[in-house]
This record gives sequence, C-alpha cells and structure tokens, in this order.
Amino acid sequence: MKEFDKYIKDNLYNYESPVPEGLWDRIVADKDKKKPTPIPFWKNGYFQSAIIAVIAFAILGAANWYTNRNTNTSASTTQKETPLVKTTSLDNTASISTKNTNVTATIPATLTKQEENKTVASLGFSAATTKKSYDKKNVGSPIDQSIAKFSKTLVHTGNIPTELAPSSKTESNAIAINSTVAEKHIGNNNSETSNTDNSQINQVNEIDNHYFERGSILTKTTSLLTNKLVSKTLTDSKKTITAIHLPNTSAKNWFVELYASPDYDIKKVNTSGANSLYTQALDTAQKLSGGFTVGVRISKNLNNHFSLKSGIQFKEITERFRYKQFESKSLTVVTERSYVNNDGATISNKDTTTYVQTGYRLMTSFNIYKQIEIPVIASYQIGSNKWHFSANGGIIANIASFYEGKTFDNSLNIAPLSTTQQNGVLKSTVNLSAYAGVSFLYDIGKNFDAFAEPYCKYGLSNSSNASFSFGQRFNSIGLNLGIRYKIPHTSIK
Amino acid sequence: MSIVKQLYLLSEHELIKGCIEQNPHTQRALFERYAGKFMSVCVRYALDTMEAEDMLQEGFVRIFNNLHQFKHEGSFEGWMRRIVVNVCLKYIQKRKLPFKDIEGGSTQDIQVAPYIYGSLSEDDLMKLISQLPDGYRIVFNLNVIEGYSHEEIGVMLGIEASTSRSQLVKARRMLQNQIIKLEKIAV
Repeated sequence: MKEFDKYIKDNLYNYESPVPEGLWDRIVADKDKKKPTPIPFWKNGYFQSAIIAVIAFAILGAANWYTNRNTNTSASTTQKETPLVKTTSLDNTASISTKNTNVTATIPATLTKQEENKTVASLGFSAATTKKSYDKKNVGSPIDQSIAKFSKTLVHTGNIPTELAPSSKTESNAIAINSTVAEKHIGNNNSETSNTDNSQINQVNEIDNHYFERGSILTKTTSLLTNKLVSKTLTDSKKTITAIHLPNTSAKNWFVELYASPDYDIKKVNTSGANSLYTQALDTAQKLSGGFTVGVRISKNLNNHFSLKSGIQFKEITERFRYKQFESKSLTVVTERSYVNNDGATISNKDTTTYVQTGYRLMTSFNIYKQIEIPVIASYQIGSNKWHFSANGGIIANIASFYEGKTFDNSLNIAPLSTTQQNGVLKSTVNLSAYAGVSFLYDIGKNFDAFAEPYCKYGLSNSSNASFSFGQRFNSIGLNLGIRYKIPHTSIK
Repeated sequence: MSIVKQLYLLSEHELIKGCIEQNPHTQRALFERYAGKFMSVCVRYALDTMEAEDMLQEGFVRIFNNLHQFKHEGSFEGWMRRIVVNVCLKYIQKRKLPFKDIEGGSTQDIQVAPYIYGSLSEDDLMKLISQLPDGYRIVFNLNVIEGYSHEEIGVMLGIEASTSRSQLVKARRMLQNQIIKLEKIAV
C-alpha cells in the first residue's frame, strides 16, 4: 500500500502538464482587476500622526479662543459699568509697598480729577504721595476708567482681601479696590488721605509682590493692564469694584527648555517579510544596551494652561551585536621517516598531511543608532507657586538617522548596518513617533524651573531598506531631566 | 546574456522580491517556472481542462497578490502549491462534492505486481486518477500526493476524518483495479 502511494507521489508530485497558450495574458488581465487592497489610509502611521497633531492643535486653538473670549467679555463688562470720569494726568509718583517686601515702584500716576474735590491719597508706606480727586457724583471706579483710557495708571494700595492675595507664581495678580470709604488711611504707615464726604475712593489694596519682581515696574505693564483687566466683582449700585485681576502674565510667555534623558529602548522587528530563522538569529545576536536623548525645546504659552513646545533633540541608541566569524585554517604536516633496509641503504619516506581546521571567533560589535528628531508637543499645565504639573502629548519626527555597526543580511552574512556603505541593510528614513509624558516642574529661582519628565515614545513607522524584507522601529521609555528658563519680557513698555 | 536567460537563472529569493515589487518580468518568470507543475495539480482536481485553467489562473493571481505574506517558513513552492490546492478545493466545494461510496468490490487491497508500475507513464496515471469519482479523487490527491493527513482533509472538506480514510481506501482499490485492467489489456 505504501509502495503504491509512494509510486504515485513520486510520479505525479512534480509532474508537469502542458500549460495552455494565452493563460499568462489572462492572468495579467485578472491580476490587474484584483490588485491587492491597499492599506486603508486611516491605518497609515503618517496619517494617524497627522490626525493626532490636527486634533491637538484644534483643542489648543479652541481652548485659547475660549479663554480669550471670556477675558474680552469680562473686560467689556467692566467698561460698561464704569462711570465716565473726566480725568487728567498727573505726573505724581507713588511708592508702593507690599506686606512682606518693600518694593518700590515709581509710578507716573494718572489720576482723575474733578474741580470740587481734591483728594490726596498717599500711597504705600514710603513717602511718595499721590494726589487724587474724585467727582462726588461719579465716585466709584475711576481707576478702571483711567486704566482703560490711559496708558499709565496708578493703582492704590491698601489692605488686600485674603482671597485675592498674591499667591501664584503664575502671576494671577490682583488689585483689590475698596471704594466704600471716603476718607481712609491707606497702608499701614501713613498716609495722608484726603477726605471727601461724598466721594468714594477706590483703593488698590495691594499689588502682587511677584508682579513687581517679574514685571519690574508697574508702569511697564500698563499696556497689558489695558488689554487684560478682568473684573472679579463689580457692584454697580455702590459703584464699587471689589477686585480686578491683573492679567496672568504667564500667558504668552516663552520658555527655553534644556533637557537630557537616559532611555530604555525596545526594538520591534517587523517580521512580516522575514523568515523565522533570520529573526531568531537577530534576536540571539542583538541586545540593546542603553541610550540617551538630549535636546532643547522652545515652549510658548497659549494661555494659562496650554502651551506648545518644539525644538530639536538628539537620540542615540547603543546595541551590542555578537556574531560568529567563521574561519578555516590549513595545517600541513610533513613527516619524514628514515630507515635502513636490509641492503644497508638508507631510505627516506616523506608523508605529507594537510589538516583543515574550521572554527569560529565570537565577535562583538557595538552598533550605534543616531537620530535627529523634531518634537512637536502640546502641553496642559496646572500648578501652584512652586510646583507645576503638566501632561504632554505630541509627535516626534525623526528627520535624520545615522547608523554605525554591523548586522545580518538576508543570507545571514555580516553586513554593514547603514546603506551608506555597500550591502548596507538600514537606510535613513523619516519616521514618526507618538510621544506622551508628564512633567513635574519646581521653581528654583527667578525665571528658572527644574523639571522631570517621564515619557514614552512609540514608533509609528519602520526604518529599513526598501529592498530588504523586514523593518524595525524603536519604542522608548525615558526620563527627561532639565531646566526651564522663562524668557523675560524686554519689550514691554 | 538574454533577459529570458537571466530570468531563468533568478534565485527563489530574487523571484519573490521581484514579484513583491510587481515586476512583470519576474512575475512572468515565476509563472513559467511553476505553471506546468501547478497545471497538473489543477488537472487532478478539475472536472475538465477548462476548469483546470480557471483554477490555475485564479491560483496565480492569488499567489501574486499574497506574496508579501510569505514568511519564508518552509518551501516557497509548497506555499504556492497550498494556495493552488485551496483554489481547487474552492471550485470543488461549489459543486457540492459528494462523498458517496461506490457499491461493489472487495475492501481488501489488491496486490499490484511491481513490474506493472514501470509500464505506466505519468500520463497514464493522470488519466486513471481523473477517472476516479470526485470524492475518491479529491481525497486521494490530498492524502497521497499532497501529503495532508485525514484530519486536515476532514477540516478542508468539511467531512469526518473517518470518511476521508474510507474514501482513500476505496480510491486506492479502484485505482489498483484500473491498473490491473490496463495490464490485462496490455497482455
């Protein structure tokens, strides 16, 4: 039975029947009709990255627009409810102190003035005074008016409500204005306060200490004030503005971030076109031995929470590659024997033997993958004075790669890693990676923050030689450690 | 060296690579190299030559379209042959393959003298196999020539493994009977 089966198989397995004429043409026509379905575009890594980026930008844009819209609405409300006051500018100066720090700012003050009343308010703890007069009828919020109308504005000092005390490094500064008294001493030290029976003086209780530190002098921020004032509470009946938030000066800020990270990299080999023997050999021979990333990013705050970051970074991955280098050595042994025969003659006999010894050397090569990358990252930040926390997400485009080292080619022979060399395997391609991380920032001094940013990076596309039947990508986990520097506002006048 | 000769000398790897890249010359070379073998496969399963041509045509189209999925595990020819056989089975299943026993005759294997084997050509064997009933022929082809187990055949054809075994036994017996008849005619 088995003989019969074997006989049939031996004869028919490789038997070739005549192929009809024209069959190839039919196949070509049919093949063109049934071309393989291309990979859906939504499964394409570049497309996915683009979608992520578009969504991120859309969210950031919407958030920015929403925030600005609210700000404008508040500001306009304040304007409407503020009675018009005739104002004149006085080039008085005022020294303003805060509770903790004597920071003196020279403020060319713009004050409203009416004919009937002359109120002089001495501001702050120092000697400088400011004279102010308010219209009896139009008492209320001349400050707001003056701030809105003039580029140089004085704000009063006084006691600041607790909830409005400057607390945030993010500079959510506040000016609290009490306007219920007609005559009041302002500040602790002194101050001459003029008295007006029917008038109410808006007093600015306190201005964020930090604001002065960062913004240097108040007068230089008036343009921001004009644009960004937000009224927290406005009591129209009493013509009282209880609080005005100064703009968050962190919005629109620019930062420079310098960072470095030790990386743990995971190489993923795409085996769709590679045989198992090849991938097994690669797995055995290669082992990633660490990497790092260094870079610099520019960060731009879009508003109090959202920011965009981009820059350039350099990434290097080292890989140990062990392989066997087979060698053959020939050894020729000549053995000469001499002996004397019965006739007394000496006979020499040479015996030549050649040995071929085949063995291998275990070689170790360190492969280096260098990549230059452009990160584009969106960030959402929250936090308090000292500590900040942000969630980051985006894409990293690998714009150039450089490879050094060796690997296996298709035939498991040793070949250079880079296609810049003959028979090289990997070519430099533009790859995209998805990036996600969280940052912990700590204020370490004026304009400086230290940050730690654990992150993960997921490769979306392969780097490989197009003529080679496999591809590979790297996924990374790392910890960016760095310094963030806030670029000062030098252009504010 | 002419391009035809160059194509003829292409290694299996080069053929695969060229076909994945949709190189028409390489695809033609692949077809030329394997069409004869696969045509014989199709002829053994098909009802007639026309159906065999259709099977072969669809088989090659599938091969070209799925070549990028070949994982270099095992023989390339074996991979292609499996595709062709699957196409043949698809055609057969459209016909609702009957696995009926043909009545009559002994279930015992018939001993065929070894010398008779030598007197039969491949064409004779092909003809004898093509004369087997559908069910017998398919199981015989799958088991004896392609090397599938009865369990695999059962899965492929949607039948019990025991059915496959019995079909094979009867196919073999019928084929041996045919061979003996041929011998008698020859004598």
